[in-house]
Amino acid sequence: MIAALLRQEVRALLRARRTRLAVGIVLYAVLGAPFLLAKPPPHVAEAAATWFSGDDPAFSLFLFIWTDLALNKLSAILGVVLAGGIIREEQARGLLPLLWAKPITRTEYYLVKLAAAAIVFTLLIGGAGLLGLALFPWQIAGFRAGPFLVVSGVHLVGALFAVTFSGALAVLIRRRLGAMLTSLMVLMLLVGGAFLGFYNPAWADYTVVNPFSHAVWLLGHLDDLSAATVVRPLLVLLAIHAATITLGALAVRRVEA
Amino acid sequence: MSVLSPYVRAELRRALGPRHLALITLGAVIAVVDAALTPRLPTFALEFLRTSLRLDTMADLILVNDYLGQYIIVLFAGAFELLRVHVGPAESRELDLYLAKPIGRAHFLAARSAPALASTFVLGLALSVANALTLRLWLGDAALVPVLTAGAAITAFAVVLLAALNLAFLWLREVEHAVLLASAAAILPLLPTSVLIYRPDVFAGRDLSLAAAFPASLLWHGGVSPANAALALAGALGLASALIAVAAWRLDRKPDL
Repeated sequence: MIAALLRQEVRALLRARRTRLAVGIVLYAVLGAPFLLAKPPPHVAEAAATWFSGDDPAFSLFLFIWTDLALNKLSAILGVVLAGGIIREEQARGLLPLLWAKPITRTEYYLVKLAAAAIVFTLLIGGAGLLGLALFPWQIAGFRAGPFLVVSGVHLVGALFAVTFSGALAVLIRRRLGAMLTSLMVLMLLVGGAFLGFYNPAWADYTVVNPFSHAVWLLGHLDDLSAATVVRPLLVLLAIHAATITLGALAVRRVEA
Repeated sequence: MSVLSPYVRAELRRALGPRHLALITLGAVIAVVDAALTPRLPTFALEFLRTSLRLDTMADLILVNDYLGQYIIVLFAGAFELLRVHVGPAESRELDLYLAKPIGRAHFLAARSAPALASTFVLGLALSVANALTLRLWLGDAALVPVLTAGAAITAFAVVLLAALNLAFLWLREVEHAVLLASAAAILPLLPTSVLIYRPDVFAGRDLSLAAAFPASLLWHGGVSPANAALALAGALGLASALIAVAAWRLDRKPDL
């Protein structure tokens, strides 16, 4: 039953108007990124060489623009739009008494809704990566598919924090709009601080609390994208996700119909 | 006897609440953290910001982030307030109930929109004061008036953008869809700044307008004069009132709710 419910939730989200608008915004981000990279001024190229590792500063700059300007901002917004109203949406429509009467626990229902949001989020952000993989070799000089996929993949795992966090706040904060606004503000702050450890290496230790910093951590290790290097941010991010999902799953038990 | 109807007074009472105090506190915290961290950035990063955004002083480098924070907070706070006007009630199917009362559609829309925009207006001005005071505390000899006038210009711009969004929201019936639209509208004016940083060649040989790098452009050419700030505020109030009137007219003639 849970699998059927999940399929139905994913289908409903894919059909929603917000998802269609999100697809348009994602397309704009993918198509716009190469334009920004076409003629980088000397001080930008120098900054990329200083802040990020790798023997090809132009490619590092591309990954910076890709993860910071395109993916990070999109992730913060899409996370809130897909998961910021879960449970509360049904509550606003007066459906919770009916849903709580079904043979499914509140925690299970919350996890299904969160999983559906995460799947659609993955389709959108992962789809952006796959579209980029098809387009960028023709548009970006020196484009390398392997590092692009690895960096985008780890970023996607990190960016899913926008979904798990928004979902947790949705059930922790009683007012739906208040929860969504709080999620958006916090996620915007985290996205804004994602690269602080690169701008000033002395602050790198403080960014350990920011999931988006872990999501872009590989930009400082482009010379060594070994399995061990890639696993490190993934493990941290999975631990953060587990904690956030648990928090939401516990909080949903107290949501009144 | 009050000239305002009990319904309008009820809406006005709801306009300002503890949420606004929380948002002002958030803005003040951003201003303090920004003022504390920016001067500690390595020289290379500061030079990058100076060259990219065409700024001169340390105060400018601090203020550009304060202005960005103010714009984001004001715009999203206002957008979420405006969700109470039509989208929220339409989604939860409460609109018919509200309009079954002896309150006309146009009256209902104006009574909900105007206090929402007015509270956003107050929030923007309060954040301007918070930014000015924080900068004065940190840098000692920083002038207060240019920060207040730039803050007023940001508030004026945000209020007009929100009034336009309020009109667009009449076509939507899903809160998350409206949040996504508001996010796109919020980011749109910031895109030229990315172009200025990464593709300054696009602006080569042109006079840079105010829209070329909002909000950094508010710091160029000596900032915003008090006369221009007053003009912007007055113009914004007039334009926002006109847009509310158009939205009220539109709702009055909408065939379906």
